[in-house]
Amino acid sequence: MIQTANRRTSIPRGKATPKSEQPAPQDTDINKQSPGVRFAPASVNALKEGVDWMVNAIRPTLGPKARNVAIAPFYGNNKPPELLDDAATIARRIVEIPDAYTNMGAMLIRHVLWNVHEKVGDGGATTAVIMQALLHEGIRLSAAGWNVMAIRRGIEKGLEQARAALQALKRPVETEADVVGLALAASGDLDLARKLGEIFDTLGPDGHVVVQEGYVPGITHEYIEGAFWNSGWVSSAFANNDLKTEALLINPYVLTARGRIENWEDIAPILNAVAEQQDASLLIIALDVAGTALNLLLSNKDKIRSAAVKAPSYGEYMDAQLEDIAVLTGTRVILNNMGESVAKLRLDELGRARSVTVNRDYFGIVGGHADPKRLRGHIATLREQIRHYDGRDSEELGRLRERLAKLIGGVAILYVSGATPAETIARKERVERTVNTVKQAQVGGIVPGGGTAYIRAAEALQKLDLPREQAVGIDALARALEEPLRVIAHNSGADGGPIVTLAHQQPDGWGYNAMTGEFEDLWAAGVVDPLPVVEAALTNAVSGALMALTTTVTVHRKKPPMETNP
Amino acid sequence: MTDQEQNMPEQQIIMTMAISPTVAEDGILFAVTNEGTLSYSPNEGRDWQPVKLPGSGLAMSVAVSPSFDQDGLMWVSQPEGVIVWSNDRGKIWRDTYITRQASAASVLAPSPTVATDGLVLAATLEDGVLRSGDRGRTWSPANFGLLDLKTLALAVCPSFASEQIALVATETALFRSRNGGLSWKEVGFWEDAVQSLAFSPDFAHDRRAWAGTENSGLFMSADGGLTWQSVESFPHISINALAAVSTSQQWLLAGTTGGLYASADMGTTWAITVPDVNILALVTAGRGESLRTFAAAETGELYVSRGKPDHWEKIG
Repeated sequence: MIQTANRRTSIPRGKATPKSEQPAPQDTDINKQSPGVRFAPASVNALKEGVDWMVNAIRPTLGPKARNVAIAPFYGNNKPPELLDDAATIARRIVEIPDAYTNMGAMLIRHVLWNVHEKVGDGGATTAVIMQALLHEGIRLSAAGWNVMAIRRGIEKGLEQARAALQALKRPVETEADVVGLALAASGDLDLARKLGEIFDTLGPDGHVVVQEGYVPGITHEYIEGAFWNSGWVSSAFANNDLKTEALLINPYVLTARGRIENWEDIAPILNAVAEQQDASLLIIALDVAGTALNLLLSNKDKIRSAAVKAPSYGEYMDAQLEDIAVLTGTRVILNNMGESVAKLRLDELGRARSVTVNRDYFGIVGGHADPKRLRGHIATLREQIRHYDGRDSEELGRLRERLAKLIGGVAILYVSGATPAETIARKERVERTVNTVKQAQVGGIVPGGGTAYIRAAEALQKLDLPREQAVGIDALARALEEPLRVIAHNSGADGGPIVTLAHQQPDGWGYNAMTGEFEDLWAAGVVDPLPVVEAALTNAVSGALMALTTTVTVHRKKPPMETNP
Repeated sequence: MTDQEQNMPEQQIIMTMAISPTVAEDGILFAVTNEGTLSYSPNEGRDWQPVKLPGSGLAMSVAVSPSFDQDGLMWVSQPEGVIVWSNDRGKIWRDTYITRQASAASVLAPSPTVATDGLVLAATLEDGVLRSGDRGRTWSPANFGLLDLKTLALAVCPSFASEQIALVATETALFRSRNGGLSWKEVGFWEDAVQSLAFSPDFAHDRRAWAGTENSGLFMSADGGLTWQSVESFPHISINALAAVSTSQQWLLAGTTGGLYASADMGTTWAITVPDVNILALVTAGRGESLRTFAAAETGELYVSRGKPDHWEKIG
């Protein structure tokens, strides 16, 4: 019995299947199995068996003619199964397999696949088949008497060579036509590909693209203009519309402060200065606005339109966002938490905007009077930071992309809808994957797809001259690098072995196109993969296989705590 | 519109114009003056009648439909941030609905196929671009990607129906849209304001567009507005208006503070055809012998060229 988890939901023990259907507990429920220790080769073989369990479930999803994997719903026997073709998600749904020692292998690859997904959003199935092939090769060599640590050194040196070979194949994705071709290859959907071409042409590689379920059949898109921050007013008394739900300020001055503003003396001078301007208003963004300062704003709101909001978020992220607002409105952040006086501010030190909307949940700025050079410099800095974090810290990366989107004008939303809820979910996931593929390709370039890049990397390994005990590791890696093409060919109905042999005989850029069943110029055919995904799949697969291969002892604990994360 | 025909009052200066696409036959020309008056000429600018507008009665800019001879459709923006439209050549005006309060529109640019696609763009003084998809009845902001909202010039390409390419110049940069104004992407940033824009009449094939700046002269794009290069042969004077016209050859005209310049080789070499006047506005319609081009000068004079724009005649 394989236990599955649905969308990060942990499985209540004993409720996965009806009791009557449960096999003997000693055989299948790993929590009831006796604790114990296993040593090599039994430990490694059990890990291999676990990896095989998982990879065999994922293997059919690799390539353009992939099949789906149906996962039973967690709740309700009358619900349709979840149809998945994404390796990481399939692995994530499987949270336990029967034997405790085998389960360790399955959970090891599950984490490897999720790590790849988190980093590059795709490439899970490729990772799985490379890892499995490399582990099999390593175990075979080990059984034949080769030293595992020497094999490992050989594989690690081979990995460096293979990555260099992949880099040498890279082509940039620069034009809109490049994006359309790539998105078409990734999704097989021309309408989606054209829409993504337009969106990425507008937003650039760091554009904030949100994929949502839509109501209109097919795929539609829209652009959401303006910069909005999730922080509302400090008092609903600032509302100035008829329904008292929103404050709208036209041509406001903008004061951004890192500390609290509580004393009326602090803001009275600047409020007077604003009052002297025709039709002007004031927006204060600060850690907090309270006490007599707030009273002063509210008691004069009929004469001077104003609103005060709390700075969005907290800590370093708050500082960063305050800086963004300051740049966008052409001002600077007042460090009143460090002793700088708000009371001494001059009007020309404040920012300006065309309009500001504030309600209890958020505030939005339209038409900030940014200094053009400073704004473009700030945008360039954020883009540079995104390059720095790409593939390393997805949370920070998400924050940076969100900040950039606000500065360059907003976000693009793709609405996806299918004939049934299940189709909508499946299409949405495919669109998300395509969006991610395009982003990765714009950042890191593309290489020939369909497993061909790995074939060229395997050929590059032959140039390495290593001692024999390490060279066997190189050979193992070379064979593992052929595995993605072998599986893609098999999944498309061809015989993988001869296809791999023929692939080695093709000129640069040529390879097997599983869609047509022909060897052809893959650049021209648009059969390409993003290099970051190809590299991440290889690196993580090698890491996972080496971890399993060099593990000589496994320990099973009684009743380990259940985790579904990832 | 009144029945009383008269010359344009001498103290009034034409700031912007709109021309009937069949001006050679119907002679219809509209002009907005520095005093905010909208005037109508039925005879290629020789006589003028004031046009009565609703609200303040003042006009900021005017545009006519590319199929004006058939639908009589036209739009006028007013200083108070209102756009009105008429489908009877300006006799009766109707209000439009703008989803967000906006400043006055200084340029109105209908799609060449507005009768079918209904698209009209408007460049406002402080609120970026407004977009209408229903022939100017309702308008909403279309500023996605604009880094500042003070717009100076706006143009849509002749092949807009198939390509939906538009350019808008703001105080700090030039932006391009390839989806009919739904979103914009910065394509030029020269630390100088672009005041005028023009697309080649044969844009679908030659991909050319021009941008006239305040102090840095003329820029040209040969790839549909994606990249821009300075036109070295053009003097660094303020370019208020640009027009690209097609006779037996293609002409590029530049209305500058130093006069009206014309190039018969699309910007490679230039000749000054109306010297020593500050040209504020240029409009053109027709092709070949039916081509009419009008140039309005700061001195209040109006010039017309019939056919090849190498010879100009002062009107009135």
